[in-house]
Amino acid sequence: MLYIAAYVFPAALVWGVISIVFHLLSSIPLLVPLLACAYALWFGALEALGLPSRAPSLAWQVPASWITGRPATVQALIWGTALGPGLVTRNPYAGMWLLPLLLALNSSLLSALLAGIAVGIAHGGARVLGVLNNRKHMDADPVYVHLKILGAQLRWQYLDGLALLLAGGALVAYVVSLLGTHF
Amino acid sequence: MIEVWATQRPVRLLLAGGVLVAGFSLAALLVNQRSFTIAGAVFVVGLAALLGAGKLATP
Repeated sequence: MLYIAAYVFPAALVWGVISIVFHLLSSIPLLVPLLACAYALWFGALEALGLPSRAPSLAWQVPASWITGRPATVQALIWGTALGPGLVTRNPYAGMWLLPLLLALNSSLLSALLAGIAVGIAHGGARVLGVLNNRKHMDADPVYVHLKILGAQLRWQYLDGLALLLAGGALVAYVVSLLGTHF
Repeated sequence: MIEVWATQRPVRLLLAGGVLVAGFSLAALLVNQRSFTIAGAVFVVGLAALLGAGKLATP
């Protein structure tokens, strides 16, 4: 339970703040929809078609000195705060950076904030379930685990690419409707 | 079996195109309705969960 809370609460908080910050961009007409549309179509095509690509990602890792010698509760809190929001550590999926842009499309600050908190809970919750699931494979052969991870990552990238293309198609329709309003 | 089939280049192209058209059509139908905002919020939260779950592959 502590593990789940350690991942979910920081993620909800961080994504709530992100939604407020990105909502400020929505005052510039068409900027966010056009950016989101171009991003979703480009990375969606690369990931869904299996073309060589690297998702935008920070390469930061939790320093070992932050973990070693700390009580298990503090370790869980550090891991949860770093991994729950999903932004600062290595990220293999381009969909991650579409989320702030999509949050900025909300017309009201309150709905953006609520959606941001929900995004944090969804990401942090799913992430912690993965971490808990990984614990089952701690004793497995490292080579087998590595190959399994690579295979799984390719499958998730494919899915992420399809999700990005779905969003890209929807954003094209949204941009066209906005252009109809503006011109 | 289905995994091998789904990752073939023509199937990838077909799926990618189909999903793109589906997203466009769905949004074109809903864009002026309140349900567009709700559908958008559900999509964003779903994508966040997908991304979080996908990272189980990268401990």
